[in-house]
Formats: sequence, C-alpha cells, structure tokens
Amino acid sequence: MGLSAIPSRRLTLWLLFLLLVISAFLHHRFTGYTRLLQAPVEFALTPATHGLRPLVEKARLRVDASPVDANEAAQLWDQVQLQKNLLLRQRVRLAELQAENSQLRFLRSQLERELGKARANRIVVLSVVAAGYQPASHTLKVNMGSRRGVTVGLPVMDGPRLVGKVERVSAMNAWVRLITAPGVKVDAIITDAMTPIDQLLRGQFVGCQLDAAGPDRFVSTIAKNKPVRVGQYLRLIDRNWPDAAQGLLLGRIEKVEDDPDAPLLRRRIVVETFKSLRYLDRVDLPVPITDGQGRGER
Amino acid sequence: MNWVVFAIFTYIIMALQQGLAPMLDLQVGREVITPQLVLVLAVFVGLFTPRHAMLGAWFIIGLLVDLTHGGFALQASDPARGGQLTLIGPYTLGYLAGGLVIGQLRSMVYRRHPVSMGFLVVVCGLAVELVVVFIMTVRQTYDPLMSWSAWNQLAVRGLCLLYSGAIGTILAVGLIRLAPLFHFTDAKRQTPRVY
Repeated sequence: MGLSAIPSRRLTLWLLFLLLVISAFLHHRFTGYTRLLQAPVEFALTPATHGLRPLVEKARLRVDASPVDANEAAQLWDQVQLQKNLLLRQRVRLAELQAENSQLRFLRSQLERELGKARANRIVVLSVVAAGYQPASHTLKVNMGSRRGVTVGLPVMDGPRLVGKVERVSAMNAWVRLITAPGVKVDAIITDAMTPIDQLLRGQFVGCQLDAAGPDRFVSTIAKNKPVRVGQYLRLIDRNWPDAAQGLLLGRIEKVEDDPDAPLLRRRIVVETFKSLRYLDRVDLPVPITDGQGRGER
Repeated sequence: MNWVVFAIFTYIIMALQQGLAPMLDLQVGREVITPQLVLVLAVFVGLFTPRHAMLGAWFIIGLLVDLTHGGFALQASDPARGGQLTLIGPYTLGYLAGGLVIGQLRSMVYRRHPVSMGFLVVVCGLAVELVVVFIMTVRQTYDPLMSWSAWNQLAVRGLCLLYSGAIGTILAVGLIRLAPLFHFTDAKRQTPRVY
C-alpha cells in the first residue's frame, strides 16, 4: 500500500490541515503573510461595519440614559423652572471655564516650549469601523491606514484623552490597541485641573504606574503619605510612549482606599476613563508631518 | 447547500459581528462578554448540511474569524510590525474541531428546535475555544502574549459561549425560517463516500 493508494483529495485535506497546524504555531516574526489575506477581507467588510458603527453609539447612549417614570412627569415639569435657574448659573460657570481653558492652553504651550519638543503633527480624525470581538482582542479598527500616513506606534486620542496606540496597519485600515487592554502598564502623574506649570517642571507631582483593570478602568498603588483624592486627573508621562501622547489624560480618580495587601503602607486608587473606549465612534490621530506636507488642522 | 447564499449570510453576520457586537456587550467584572454571532451561523449551517460541505463551511468561517477577530496582544512589541499577532490557524483549527463535534451531535438533537441550536452553540463553541486556548497557551512558551492566562481565558470564553447560546436560541427562530434559502440537502439522505 503506497502513497498512490491515498486519494488525492484526502491527501490535499491532510496537507491543508498540516499547513494550518504549522501556521498556528509560527513565531510572530514569520506571520507577515497573514496581511495578504487580511487586507482584502477587511477591505470588503469595512463598508458594512462602518455603516453600523453609529448605531452602536446611539444604542449605547439610550442604554446609558436613565428611564423616566411617566408618573413622575408632572413633578419633573415643576422642576423645569429650577433647572432654568441652574442653567443660568451654568452659563456663568461656562464663562469661568472658558477663561480657565484659555489659561490651560497658555500653560500647555508654555510646557511645550519648556520641554523643547514642539509637536510637528497634524491631527486627523478617524472613524472607528469595528471593534475586536474575541475575548483576547481589545482593539478598535479605524478607517485609515498606511496610505494616509498612519504608522505603527502612533498614539490615538479622543480630544485630550488617550485612547491607545496603533498596533497594526494595512493600506486602508489600522488596528488600535486600547490603553485599557489587559496587561497594559503606563506611567502617569496625578494632577489637578489647574496644576501650575512650574510645579510640573520642578517635578512636584505624584507619579504612579497604572495597570489596566477592566474595560475602562485602571488601578494603581501609591504610598500612603502622598496627597491623592477622588476627582484628580491622571496624565500620561511615560517614556515608552511617543511625545505626542505625553500629558494626555488617562482618566479620573474614582476611588481611593487602603491597599488590601499593605493597608498601613499604601493606598490603592481606582481610575476610570472619561468615556467607554470600546464604544467610541471617532478618534484623533496625530500624524507626523513629513517633508512636503503642510501643517493641517482638524 | 447554496454557497452563494452562504457567502451572503456570512458577509452579513461578519459585518454584524464586527459592527454591532459591542452593542450587545455585557460587562462581567473586569471582562467584556461578547456574543459570537458567527458561531451561531456556523452551527446553523452545521445542523443541516452534509458532512463535507459542513466542514468546508466551518473551515471558511474559522479562517474569517482568524483574519478579523482583532488579533492577540504580543508581550514583546516589535516596532516595525507592532504588538499585534494575527495568526491563521487557531480559529480555523478550532472551527474544524467544532465541525467534527457538531457532526457527531446533530443526529442526537431535534434540529429544528431553537433550543437545540443554542445548546449546540455552547457545546461546539467549547470545542472551538478549547483548541484556540490550547494553541495560544502552547505558544506562550516561545512567543508570549500580554497577560495571557489559560484559565482566565477559558472562563471568559465560557461566559461568552453561554451568552452566545442564549442569543443563538433567539436567532434560531428566524434562521430556521430562512433555511429554504440555503437549499440544504438533508444530511441523512447522503450516500456515504466510497474511496
């Protein structure tokens, strides 16, 4: 009974199976060929998934909104006048915040000058077309790739908030690993909304290492004598991340408690992101300006 | 089976999986539980298709999942290639294993009952996930992934499967009505292949 006795179809199937086994165990250095197959599949799927993505955002908003009891409608109506007054107060507060905002912009530009790292980037807005759907995939797929200057390692933002880092790029799409993906560790500093620039430059801030601990959550432990309170912001200061990501907001401290492992020595802080990163509809990307490109705006 | 209809349905389900699955997410502790709509389609096809066509369909679906699921996070990030690992094999082999399981089990269940489909989604999905977790755990020895824990993955994937089973039971009501579009040939009437 020789090889010729084996039907060619069965032989092909066994060879295919063998190839799959080899492919499954290949070291990541030798898996570049997968992009050849992946690119057309993504190209075909992107138009359909892109169209569906806004539905996710809308549905999410609907779920997040608290339901209104019909019986309470009359009482709510009575509260409208009160709300009007509050709105007037909010308007005043808004004017204050605008003033504060302009001050922050000034401080930011001052910080950039001090560090001597002016950012030669243009911000492009990307649409999120899909999210990774297996438990080990904490990624977002965006609708621009290497043809538009997107490269591996670029930080991805949502306004002043850090979303993640570009981890893979094809011609038309890029995959972003979320900052909250399991195993991610980043260095950050704890600041108030109005931390003076000179304090930051003199190193007068509390630093910590954040561990991703859930879909939109980080945890960290710090020494008990460090001044930390709920509501403070965390900003990325991590040399493993590009310059464009430094100083971006990671989240807000939601809980400060004694560290269960060393309650007398350390405190544990729980930080939550400002938005649920997995459900973002659009993200921003600072694409470095190369020679021949002008500085663009959003 | 009408392969054109299968291709159209696969495209729609893949698009729904990628685009709409986050809408159905459940957060359990630190993990996000996402239903596997693609697995539901695979089980639906597996229930009514002859063995060879069924394995072909599961192979195609597994390959597509390998290419689109979003990749695994590598521990050692390569600046040139990034830290994401896309492999052809884990899900393809997993789905082939799932196809073999459904091939054995489908004669024991009442195929046109939605609960049968939900049950098979869980059981076949378990075969798929066991293969995937086994492969990725073996790979840990020479190409480690970021924060990979086999037990944690099995637990999360198990919850995903239970959720997928529930969704599959609901979807089965509609899918079974659409079965005539696929022109399924009854698997029982197929004559055995003689080599």
